[in-house]
Amino acid sequence: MCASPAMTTSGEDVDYALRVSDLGKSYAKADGTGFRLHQVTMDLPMGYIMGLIGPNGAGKSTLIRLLLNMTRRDSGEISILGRDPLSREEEVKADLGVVFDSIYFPEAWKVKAVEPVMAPMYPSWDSDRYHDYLRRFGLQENRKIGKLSRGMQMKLMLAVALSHDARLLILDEPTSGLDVLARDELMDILLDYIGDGRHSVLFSTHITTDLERVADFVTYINRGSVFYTGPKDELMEAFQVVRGGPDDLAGAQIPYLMGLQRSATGFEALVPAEHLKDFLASASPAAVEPSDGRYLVERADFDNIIRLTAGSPAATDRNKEVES
Amino acid sequence: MKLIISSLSGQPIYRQIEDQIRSAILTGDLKAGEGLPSLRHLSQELRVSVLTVTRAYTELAQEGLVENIQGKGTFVADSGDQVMRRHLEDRVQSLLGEAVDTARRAGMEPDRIRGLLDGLLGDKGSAPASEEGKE
Amino acid sequence: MKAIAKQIRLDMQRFSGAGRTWVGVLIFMSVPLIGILLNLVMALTGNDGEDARTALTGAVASMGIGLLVGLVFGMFVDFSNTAIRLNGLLPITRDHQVFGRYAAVILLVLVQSCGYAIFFFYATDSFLHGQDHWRDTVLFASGLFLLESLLFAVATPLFYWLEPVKAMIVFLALLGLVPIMALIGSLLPLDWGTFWNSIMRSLTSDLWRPMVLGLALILAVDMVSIVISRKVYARKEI
Repeated sequence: MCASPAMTTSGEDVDYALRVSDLGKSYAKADGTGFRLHQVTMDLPMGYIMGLIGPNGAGKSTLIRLLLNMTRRDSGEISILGRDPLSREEEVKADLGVVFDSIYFPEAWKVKAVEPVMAPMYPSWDSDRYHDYLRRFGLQENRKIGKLSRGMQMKLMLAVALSHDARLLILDEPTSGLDVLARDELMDILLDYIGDGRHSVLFSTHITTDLERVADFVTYINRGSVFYTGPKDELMEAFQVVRGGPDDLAGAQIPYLMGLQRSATGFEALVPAEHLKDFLASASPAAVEPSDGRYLVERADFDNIIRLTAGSPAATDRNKEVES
Repeated sequence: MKLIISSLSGQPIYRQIEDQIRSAILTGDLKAGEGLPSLRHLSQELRVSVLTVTRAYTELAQEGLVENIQGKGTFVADSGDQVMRRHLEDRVQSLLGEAVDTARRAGMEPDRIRGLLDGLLGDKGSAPASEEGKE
Repeated sequence: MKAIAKQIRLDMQRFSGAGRTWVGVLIFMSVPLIGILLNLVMALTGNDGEDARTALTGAVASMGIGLLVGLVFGMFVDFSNTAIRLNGLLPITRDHQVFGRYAAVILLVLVQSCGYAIFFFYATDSFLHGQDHWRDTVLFASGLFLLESLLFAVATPLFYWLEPVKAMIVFLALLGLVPIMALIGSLLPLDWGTFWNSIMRSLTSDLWRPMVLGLALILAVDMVSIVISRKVYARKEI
């Protein structure tokens, strides 16, 4: 049930807010290790919210910087709002709103300096809207930006991003400085933003609880590779979390699981839903029903999935070169 | 329409939405022909993703409980409550079928099964007579 | 182009400490105007001998150049911290950012040179050889314009490449090479005196030759400088 194709300000029909295909980037880090973003492919249809999740250092911020051409890609294609962001960079960025994890204005500036700087940049700048947001967020014009709290700085970036009819909103770890109330408010704002079906959101975070309810699509990146991309519900239903005692895990069961954590009091395993029966059948003695008593089987949520797959063999194999 | 969704309940959110809409149709809170909130409106109200609401509506439409009219929205099907009822009856039949199979495997006699059933019906939802089952 | 104009405005705002676009221009006009005021004061207090005027002219010229260096440093302050990310999200390509920055500075230096011309004309008698006050005014202002443009052309690629503080250090070190080279030159057994005299004479024989030569030099140096800046900035990680 898709909304009708959305029109961009230039009048083109766009079905996808963002398409990324086989994106790759590798570089050497200061500490001598290397990093590689490898064959990243994902699509975000217009009118929806996509969460970008994964542990720290997985490559989420690198991906966002590649989308904004802040760093150059080694390979792959990107299409933002139906256009090539390299050859039509200014057109594309005029329709993008961006919120980073820290403020991108000099800290010496005052809040009131922002509008004269940003307004001329965007033909569709809406000054009334901008001031409404400043009021709503409680941002005072005479305060120095450096003196604002992290959360207020994020809100300032958000106010700017929402004030020029950007069609795609990109947020890179915006919630780390916010309390729960502010995060709820942000979710409300995002849902309202996509409300007419003509705007989309890409939201990268490691605080997964925010996204679990609100994201339509999810891309899970781990160690530079895409572990999963697609509808959020499918990811969560693709796995079950199985818990058991320390001696309840047999060798025969290992091939069926995707991720595992062991402790003195037991284990926690991530089992693909289609393998659950086999997993239980390979126990010794075999377990027939999930309610066997030995095992506790639950729905997986983002935290479990990330935590249990962060060091998984599958992810490691794909990125063997990273370790050099 | 009252909808209460919990992230913690263990049940997928789309299923919670479905169940509650089904109940509302059954009890008549949602009447035939009445419009459901738009996808995006409901998603904002409940603070859940649009696709989740979409899925709930789609599954309800597949069951014949609601109709999606292109360009207008989603409406309770004309015979929605009847469809619901038939639906539930089918479900009761299959659950009873399972119960009977299980009872047979346990070696229970038909009379004993009927006795249990009467006990459950008679108690009208208070704690089932589980003491008799424990042997 | 619109994007370049956006960048010019942005850099003016950065230079002014944000918000006000035309403050930068006013600041740049201020140095020659201060010179004029000082000259008035000198005249009123009777302190306006040739030495005094020479000193004043030298002071005004150095202040202007110092202001330019400060300007360049100020424009690039955003490269040293998270504020550089603004350059990544604005709808201005990197090339246009470079063109805009060069255009902004050239504009400011041009404005300043006009100010110098006014200052020189009203505040000093000619202390160069020759009696043509007009010509000397034009030569002084253009000479400063040339000098400042050359300094900017050398400094800017450095600032696109390195962090502002490091770039400044390298730049000052390069400037420091000039007196060193002059020192070495003076120790060589060459007759610099006549050499310079003959050059100066040929340059200042009429007005147009030095102007055309100067303009050609600025254009050439700026073109090379822009090419280098573009290359450096294109590869920079924001």
